[in-house]
Amino acid sequence: MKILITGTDDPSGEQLAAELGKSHDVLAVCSVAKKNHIAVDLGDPDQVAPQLAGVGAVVHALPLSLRGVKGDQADQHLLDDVSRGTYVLTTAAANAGVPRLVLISKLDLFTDYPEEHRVSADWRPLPRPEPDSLALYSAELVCREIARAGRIEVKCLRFGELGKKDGTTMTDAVAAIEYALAEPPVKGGHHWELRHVVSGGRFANGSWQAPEKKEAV
Amino acid sequence: MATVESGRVVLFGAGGPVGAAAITALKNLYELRVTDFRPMAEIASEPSPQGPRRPVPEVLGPPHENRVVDVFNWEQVRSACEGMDAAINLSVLRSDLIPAFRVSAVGAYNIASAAVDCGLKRLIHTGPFHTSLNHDADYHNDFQVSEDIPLHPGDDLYALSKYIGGEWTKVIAERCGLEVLTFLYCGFLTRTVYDDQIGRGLGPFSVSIEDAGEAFVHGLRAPSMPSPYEVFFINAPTPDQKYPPKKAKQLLGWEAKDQFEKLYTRPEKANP
Repeated sequence: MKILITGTDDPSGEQLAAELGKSHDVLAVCSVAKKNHIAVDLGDPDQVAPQLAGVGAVVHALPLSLRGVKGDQADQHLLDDVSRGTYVLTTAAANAGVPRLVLISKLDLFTDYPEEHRVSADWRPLPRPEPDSLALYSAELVCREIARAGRIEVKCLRFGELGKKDGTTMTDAVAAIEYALAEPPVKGGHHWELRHVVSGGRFANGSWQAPEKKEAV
Repeated sequence: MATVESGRVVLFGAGGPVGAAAITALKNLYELRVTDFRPMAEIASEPSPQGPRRPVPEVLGPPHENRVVDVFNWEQVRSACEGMDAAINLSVLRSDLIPAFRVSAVGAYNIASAAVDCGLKRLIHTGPFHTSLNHDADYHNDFQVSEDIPLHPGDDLYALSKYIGGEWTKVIAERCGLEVLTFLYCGFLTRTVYDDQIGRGLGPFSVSIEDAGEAFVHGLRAPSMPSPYEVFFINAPTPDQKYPPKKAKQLLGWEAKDQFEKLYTRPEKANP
């Protein structure tokens, strides 16, 4: 399957693209062109739409690389880039007939619950009133609301710190994305689905695990 | 106490019809800092782009102030909030992609953040309630819808960008202790009922521009709210029972004066 993946400015996003590239035809998108990656302004529909030709699924990992903008108005541009970029990408994917988008989000949205609470995907996010947190939250809201209208499925995977045993290991992250990509299309159910994908640490209890790992346990 | 009985109020995006009505309702009660992306005098010199039945804002002289503010610009917004007791966010851009997010979403973030930064007592945020968004998860087919339901904007640019601005504002209200009242609107009419409107029916979420303006006085003067972020339907209590504006009456003491009986009553019954 041809997959478009965003957020590859960040090393972890780049690593996700490389891992997914072992089993898929990956189109890695970032904000500044580099080897094997193309630069696309996600906020510009004219740049995004042509990249979606022949794409079977989108992995929107932009929330992994939130702090790209520096200088005056950096907070404002961050909020604009993430909310508008997610809107443009998701609506363009729906318009192009891409059936599924996998949104990579973070469990940072739950950090302010008491440590002793067993937090699951059924809990309300607690974003902080800071641009990074609000930008992350807006990516989820934009995808959820567009999915609710029924034109595209979105599977939102919330990761702990990527590459960490007490967060989400790269192996578990890739397995969760692969699983989300391979699931059959929704028939009459919800177009928005949430999963917490955690390898260890405070959010591990009750988080989603790949079926083969679950059986092994 | 978040009540603002008197003092200084900054209006953002005041160049539209709701801004015009807000200025009329507030000018003798508060000292206003009236702002928009364009100079107020320039806006006031032209007919309303929304048609001849929509008011254009009055350009106020001292002690009021008029100022050009781009709500995407943090420094301009922060400066406009300095020395104020309350703020009213009327800013919106509906159909162009980049301004929609920069004004309706990021502008709302800037205004709420600046309100916290400057210690304002109360912020009145505004936005749309879309009665139909052409997907099954809107509330088009429901009745007795209440104010506290979560909005479902779908992929509509206007609805979604304002929704994001509202959600960011809500986070800032809840986390920073800013008291925010969000006023939702759909259809606007005028207090004057024109002959061509009589008996033609009425949309289920309508308010006169004049009533919408007067609601801001109630919003500023209402006692402290039960929670930091409260949402209100600003509409007339019409007999269709789709979107009854109960909270505005309960918490703000506001009820629309214009209830449009002449529009939803068959003319032969209204004028036998």
